[in-house]
Amino acid sequence: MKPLRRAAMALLAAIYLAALAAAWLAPAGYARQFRESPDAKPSAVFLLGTDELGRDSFARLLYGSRVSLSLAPAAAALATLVGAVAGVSAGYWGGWIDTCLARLMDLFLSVPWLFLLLSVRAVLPLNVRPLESIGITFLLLGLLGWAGPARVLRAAAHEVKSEDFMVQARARGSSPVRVLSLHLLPNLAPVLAAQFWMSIPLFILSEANLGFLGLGVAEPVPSWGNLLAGLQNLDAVAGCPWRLAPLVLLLVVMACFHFIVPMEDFSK
Amino acid sequence: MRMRARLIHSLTTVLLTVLVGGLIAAALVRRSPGFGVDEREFDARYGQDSIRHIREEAKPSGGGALPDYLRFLVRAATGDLGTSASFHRPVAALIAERFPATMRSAGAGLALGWTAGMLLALAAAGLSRPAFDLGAGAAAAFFLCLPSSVLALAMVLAGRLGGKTAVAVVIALVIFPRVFRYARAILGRIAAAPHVLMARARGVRPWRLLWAHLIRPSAPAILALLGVSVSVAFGAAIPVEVLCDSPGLGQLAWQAALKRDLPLLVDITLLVSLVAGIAGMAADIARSAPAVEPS
Repeated sequence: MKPLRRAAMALLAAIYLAALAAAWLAPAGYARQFRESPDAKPSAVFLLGTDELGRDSFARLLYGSRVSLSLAPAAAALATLVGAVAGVSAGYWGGWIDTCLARLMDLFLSVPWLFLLLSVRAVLPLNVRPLESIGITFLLLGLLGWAGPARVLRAAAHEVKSEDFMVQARARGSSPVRVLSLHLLPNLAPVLAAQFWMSIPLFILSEANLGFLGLGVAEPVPSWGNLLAGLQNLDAVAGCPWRLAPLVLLLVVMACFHFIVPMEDFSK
Repeated sequence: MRMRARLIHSLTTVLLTVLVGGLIAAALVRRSPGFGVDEREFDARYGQDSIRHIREEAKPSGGGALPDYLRFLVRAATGDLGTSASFHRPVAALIAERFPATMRSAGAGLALGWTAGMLLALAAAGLSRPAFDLGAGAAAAFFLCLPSSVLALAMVLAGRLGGKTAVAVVIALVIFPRVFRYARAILGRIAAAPHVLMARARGVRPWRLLWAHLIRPSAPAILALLGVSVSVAFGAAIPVEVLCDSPGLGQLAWQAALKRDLPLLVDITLLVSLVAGIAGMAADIARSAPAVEPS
């Protein structure tokens, strides 16, 4: 393992741990307002200052990281799972199943990613409770992001299907379930893992873009998307570099993912 | 002849994909919460008769999504895409107003991004200098790590560029790292091929080496990216046009999403998908076109 990759993994693990331990590390809840200190500068009490409503920015960053960093992998797992079911079915069974599923993948991939997200998000109710907005945002990412992994897995399943050991297993009369579970899926595990890891940074960026547009996780629950949206208040950012902390953290996490897994998926 | 058949097949596939996408969208819109409800129904100033009339107007036809969609397609064939509920204007007029701006910005951004990405990739593959390669790779990685909305915000903060120019520059910054990384990987593989090493050893002139041994063999694989990059450019246009206040399709789609003007949003999405599909088809055909061999 390259040293840079190892360092990136260690740093990412540390950020994940800090985010998961937000309830212990954060000095206050993400929604608690210190009304006597709005727009406070960083100090021993407020490590990253407070926002215009007097909420502790450090606490919001930790809780926001928890939301984005734990739900992006969940969405990636869902997208990979749906992609695996579709891609492996298409690649293994072939015929009309392959044709139909391939056309469906083309359909999903033909719509620009953010337009697809925006359209389906707008179909759902916009005025929802914050916790529901978290669910909607990451479920959308997971359910709409399946086509990319499915296409890759379909090609991989096609390839593995024609290997000698697969032909031999079928010739011996092994049931499809046995062939799939014992021969095909174990050989697709590295592709599945790669698709999962590649989807995480893409979903983090997508959530950030949705949050920026006001269609992501709803306030007061913090996420990287709505924390970055706070940067649109140019007057508040000017001369206050500590307000860029969410952006810096996003860059660090994305750089870590970049070293761990190359982001080659061009389509999003 | 084979080329024509291929063109017709590709075009049919793109059209069918968009039509099926439209049908799914129409079914989704009909199932969405609040469909067929007019905001004016909750306005206390309207009397019972007016509200009943508004309800009759907004009530969806009972035939289901497919007949509605077919009626929409027949109307669309005559240029009537309906009227936007939030803008109170014909959808066709709204799109006609905004489409050129987005096309110009996306076109300029694509041209800039592709030029920068290809030039850097060619330089990295041709020069074979690790420091240059590392610098260009780091720059590409940096831009890949940023959401397009943050790039747009940086452009607004810089405040030196006007709306449309800023949109084009941000789209270029979104496209450049993707083109660079993909082209660099392909060019790197080709540059290390034995015949290229042999040509170098024989002292073939650099320009000839670049054109005949690097650019021409790699062109089909790199061209495959063209279609996808159009899709990425349109996707990036949404947050960028919103933040840079550029009145294009991206901004219109965002406004339609916030106001839940679903018919308008679906029309825009289908149009953008059609453009991206045609670009992908053009890239596919260009990629598979037989190369003209020197006589």
